[in-house]
Amino acid sequence: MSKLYQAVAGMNGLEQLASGDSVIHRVHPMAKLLTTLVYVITVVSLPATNVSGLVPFIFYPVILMALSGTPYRPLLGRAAVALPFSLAGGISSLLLMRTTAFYIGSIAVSHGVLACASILLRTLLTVMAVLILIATTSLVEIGEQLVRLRLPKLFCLVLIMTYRYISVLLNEAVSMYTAYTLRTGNQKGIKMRDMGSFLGQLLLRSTDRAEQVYYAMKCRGFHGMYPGKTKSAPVIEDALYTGALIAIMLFLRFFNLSRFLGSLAM
Amino acid sequence: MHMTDAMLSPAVGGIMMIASTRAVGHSVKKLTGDHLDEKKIPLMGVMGAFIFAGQMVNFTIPGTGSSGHIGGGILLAALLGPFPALLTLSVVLLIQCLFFADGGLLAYGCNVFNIGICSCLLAYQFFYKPIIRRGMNKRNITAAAVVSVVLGLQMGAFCVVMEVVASGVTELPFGAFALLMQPIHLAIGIIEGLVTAAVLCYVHGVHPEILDGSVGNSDLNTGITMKKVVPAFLVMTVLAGAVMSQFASVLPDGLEWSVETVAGTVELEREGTAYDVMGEAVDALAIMPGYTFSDEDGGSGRSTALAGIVGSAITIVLAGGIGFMIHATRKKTHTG
Repeated sequence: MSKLYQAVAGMNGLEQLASGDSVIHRVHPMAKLLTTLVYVITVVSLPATNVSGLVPFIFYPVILMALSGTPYRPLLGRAAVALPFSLAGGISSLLLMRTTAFYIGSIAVSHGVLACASILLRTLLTVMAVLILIATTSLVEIGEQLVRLRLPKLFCLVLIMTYRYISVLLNEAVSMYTAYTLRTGNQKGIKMRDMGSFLGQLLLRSTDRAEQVYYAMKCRGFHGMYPGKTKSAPVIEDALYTGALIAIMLFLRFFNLSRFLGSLAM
Repeated sequence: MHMTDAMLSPAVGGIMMIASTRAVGHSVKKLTGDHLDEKKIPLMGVMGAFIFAGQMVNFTIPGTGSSGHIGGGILLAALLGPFPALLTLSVVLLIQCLFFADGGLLAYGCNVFNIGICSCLLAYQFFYKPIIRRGMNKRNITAAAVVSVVLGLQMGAFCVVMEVVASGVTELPFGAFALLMQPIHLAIGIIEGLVTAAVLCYVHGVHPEILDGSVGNSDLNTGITMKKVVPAFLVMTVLAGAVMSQFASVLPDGLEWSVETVAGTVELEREGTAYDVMGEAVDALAIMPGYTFSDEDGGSGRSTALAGIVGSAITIVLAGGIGFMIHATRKKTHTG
């Protein structure tokens, strides 16, 4: 039950963050979408055992979170959810890549350790980048930009509608679940034999709800697309933002800033 | 079964993104081709939300002390038809990726393929429909649901294995990884298949026209589905080829590593012809990650590594410091 509530609260929380106001919120959604995509591809394209080259990419999420006023704790919490799966892949590298990369004093650091650290760091960075995008841009705006990128209108429309109705159906599921637990003596979870009728009832309520939604939309003038939210066209600052960030990412991809700073310090 | 970006290379992610985009684009074309019934749009949206809500509801598996939840591919396909189901599921996957960090952005194409296409298009077409065609009754529904869910999940899990191994980011060996993934997803598939069967039987009992209608609608697919299946199999063939070449490179690596351990020489490791071939392939593609230190000067490995560590620490402190300063300045401007 708490999982359902948490899911609703989490989505509402992110949506509220996206309606904030900061220099990052004011950047055009297309610019933010493109820079996030390039960031993810650049991070993932680094060699598997290159950890020091990955570290400078921390600047992006840290600075963006600071500029947009996004709280880091809820985002880090969500990012942590993705780590266990990457850890499984990282552990295999730890176990199988035993050749020594270098020594710290007398401690040998293997390629496996580097690969494991690299996988975990990449997971954290890529997940943070996507969460920051969602925390600074509403899904309706992202949907509009996806249409501009020639994705099918129908896909974007279904995306926005699904997002809208998740909280509605989650609340429906919560009230059904409450009724079920009250009738079964406060049992945790649903018995297998009741699952069919439980989900089946939720399904039939969903289809009835869909029909009501359709008629309500038609009454309000629905003509095939959600009304637009993005207020203005991209301006020169947005192009500069995109260009500068992509240039920095490409620079960091091919020039190891960590090693350079380290060699200056030593 | 949601894949993260960290286990994927840009090349594999890109290929799967193209394949999935084509499939979803084709689904949209199928839906909007002859005038789309507008009622279907909120239906797909709400069904997507239903899958979301349904996935949050855990059921207890008797005798194991554990719990599970439905996936949704076959369930959606049985209710809506394969193409609306694929579209709906791809939307659900995107929302999970964006809001819940469940699956990466680059891995989105892989996830749509593994979870969406394998179940909604392949398993539904080859396993669910033929059984249902024999007659719409509870026995056939149960058999069709269980068989198609189990086999759809097996296909999806196998694709995950191929994609991870083809990416070459982790050291997971194909055989061991497959032996791990397939049985786990067999167990998950049986449970999900039974739950899907229970839901479909319930719906069949209360509103049989919903199931009859969707199977009737999917007559549109006859003769056209092969056009989707063939590219899907071509992509899987390419991936299989990449896996075969990985086999060719992994074995010598293992041998050379063993030789190095026994003989104590490092040079053997570098002489692997498979390494050279893979290295050339990687150079040609330009952005595939590698295992070796080929991009770093191997000669002064120790000092560059140390510089890297020191520099990384400096970078972290710098990044944190800049972030903190901006945050403090912003706070001051807003409250002052």
